[in-house]
Amino acid sequence: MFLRMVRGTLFRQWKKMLMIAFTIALGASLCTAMLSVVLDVKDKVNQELKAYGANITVVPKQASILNDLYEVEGQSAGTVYLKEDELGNIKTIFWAFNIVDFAPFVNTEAILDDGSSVAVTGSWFHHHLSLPTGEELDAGMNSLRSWWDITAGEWIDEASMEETAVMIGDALAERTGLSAGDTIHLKGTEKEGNYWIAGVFNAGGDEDQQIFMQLNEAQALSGLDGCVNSIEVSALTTPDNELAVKAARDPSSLTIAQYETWYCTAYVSSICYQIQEVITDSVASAVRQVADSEGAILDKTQLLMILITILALVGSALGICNLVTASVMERSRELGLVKALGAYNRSVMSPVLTEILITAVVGGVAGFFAGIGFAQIIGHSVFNSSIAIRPMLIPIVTILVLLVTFAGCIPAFRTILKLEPTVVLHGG
Amino acid sequence: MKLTALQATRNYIRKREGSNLFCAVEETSVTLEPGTLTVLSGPSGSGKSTLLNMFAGLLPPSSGQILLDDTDLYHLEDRELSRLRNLHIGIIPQGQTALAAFNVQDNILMPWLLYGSRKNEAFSEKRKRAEELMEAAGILELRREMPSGLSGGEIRRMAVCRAMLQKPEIILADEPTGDLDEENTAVVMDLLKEHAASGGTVFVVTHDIQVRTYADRMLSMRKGVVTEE
Ligand SMILES: Nc1ncnc2c1ncn2[C@@H]1O[C@H](COP(=O)(O)OP(=O)(O)OP(=O)(O)O)[C@@H](O)[C@H]1O
Ligand SMILES: [Mg+2]
Repeated sequence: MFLRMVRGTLFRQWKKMLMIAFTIALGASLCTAMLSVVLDVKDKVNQELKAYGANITVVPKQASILNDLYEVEGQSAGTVYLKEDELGNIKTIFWAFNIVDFAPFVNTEAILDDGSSVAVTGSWFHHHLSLPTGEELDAGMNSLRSWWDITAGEWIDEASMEETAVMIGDALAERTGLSAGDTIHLKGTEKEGNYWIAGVFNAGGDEDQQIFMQLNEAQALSGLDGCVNSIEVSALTTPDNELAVKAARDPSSLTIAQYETWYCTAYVSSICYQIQEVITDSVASAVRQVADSEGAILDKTQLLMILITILALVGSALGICNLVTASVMERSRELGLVKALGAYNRSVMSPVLTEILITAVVGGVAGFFAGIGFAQIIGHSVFNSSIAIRPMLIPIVTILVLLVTFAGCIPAFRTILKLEPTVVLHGG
Repeated sequence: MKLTALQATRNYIRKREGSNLFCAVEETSVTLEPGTLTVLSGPSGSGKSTLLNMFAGLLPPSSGQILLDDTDLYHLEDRELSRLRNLHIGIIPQGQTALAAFNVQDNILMPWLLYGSRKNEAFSEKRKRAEELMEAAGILELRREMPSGLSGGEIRRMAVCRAMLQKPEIILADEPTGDLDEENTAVVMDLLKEHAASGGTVFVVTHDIQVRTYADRMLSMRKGVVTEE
């Protein structure tokens, strides 16, 4: 009886029900798309930023002070160094898993055959790390300088190439007339020798005048064994909020609870703080522009998307309200008759509710999948990658769709409850 | 069972000159007795349907009471009143009343289907009752038709069968012969008369002169005031 009434309506009013399902689907799809982007956008932006390079630099304490005072480049303050053997510690901090890449740098100079001097930087290239935690990691310049354009030859690979493999900037290559495959003679303060040019790069800056080689070779050139000038770290971070800003100024100003929250959140400032804890006499600081723009972009996009979601949901609630009320009005005569035949209010209402629920489920499911599609379109057009769909999304969207549907139905149900059979049954 | 209106009135809110309140039924006290077929006639708009709907438990009076034996209908919960109406009061509403999703037989069985199941043993008994009624009303061969394919008179006769299905003590009929020819009017009125003769309380609102000949008691209504004829 009950089911037949439901089926009867779904059948006879299928156009109206389709409209309702469509309205719900529209709301659900926008809601799904926006929420999945909101949930995923953080990782997306981080990936973008990682591609952009390091977001934390670590320098020795004194060098940092001198830099701040005289605004000079690291070289002139080169009397203070970080310890190479502490590098692995970076992967032991609380947020170790957020550290996706890091590399040490040692800056020195060498004399070319023509008597001119050239800046030499030692670093890691595909440097394989076996950490005490059992984790394996390939760290180094290759991803920290992913934007380098290799114009000839290839990246240095520590595993397969000689230790004397170097890379030179294209400005230097032009000046000296050398290219990939050639040999270059370098004279440092402690050592001189022939180096084989593995590749020529274009970095679009000062680095184009430099020579890059493996860390140990650069150290040997100038007798800096075990010394490191700076470390660049690429870490996944949580956008800064007030707490993070306050903590970044002075962690000791926090209450214990705040400190705990801050320490256990992947703010760039707390990661910096933790790096300082494991690298002796070091100062870790966020590469400012990147960290700031990251937070701003995120906040704005998320706010916008949440706003769109709310508007979409309100819109569908209004649409549902109209359609359901119209559908109930259309059937008010029949509903009045059923009441006159002795059905009580709830039994009149439940078939209507069931119909709408079925419609909502159909619309909601269709909308959900459409929304996943939209999310991918957004992902590909904005972030050039697909958006991961979180399982969490299913209950959220379900609850929202049901809420919106019920909200939209309230006026219609009030109509049914107030429906006076007599008014409805008056005359032919 | 007898049905009593005790100083019942009904107002509607409506824009009229002077006052916004429009009194459709003036203070009325009438008792519908068992075993009697009462006919109420009067001009259109005089408040006949309004009075009938108050009797039916569908429209609360603005003041006064409607008593079924000694229970005040409008002091019952929606659930109790609905069930009571379902079992004891058969209503033939004015106009065409059918549920479009059901065929003629199911429309007639509806009062029972609202609370019972087709699997129930009592169902076959009810179906037999429905068949007898359809037979008597001359619509037995239409039992599998959907209402959309029926004439006005056929739907009206279906409504009469539906009202009588549960063998209610009280039948309230609003223009039950409105769309019917003489022959079918007689068929329907015979059914109602028979019901009254077997102890039922029957109340018929009509314009039809032919119907008056079946009356045990005649009432007339004019501008909300009921008078005995
Ligand atoms: N819901 C309502 N709101 C306002 N006025 C109403 C309402 N229902 C009925 N009326 C008015 O009450 C008066 C009595 O209506 P009612 O339906 O009882 O007349 P009736 O005697 O049954 O007429 P008819 O013979 O044409 O069916 C009419 O003037 C009608 O316009
Ligand atoms: Mg009437």
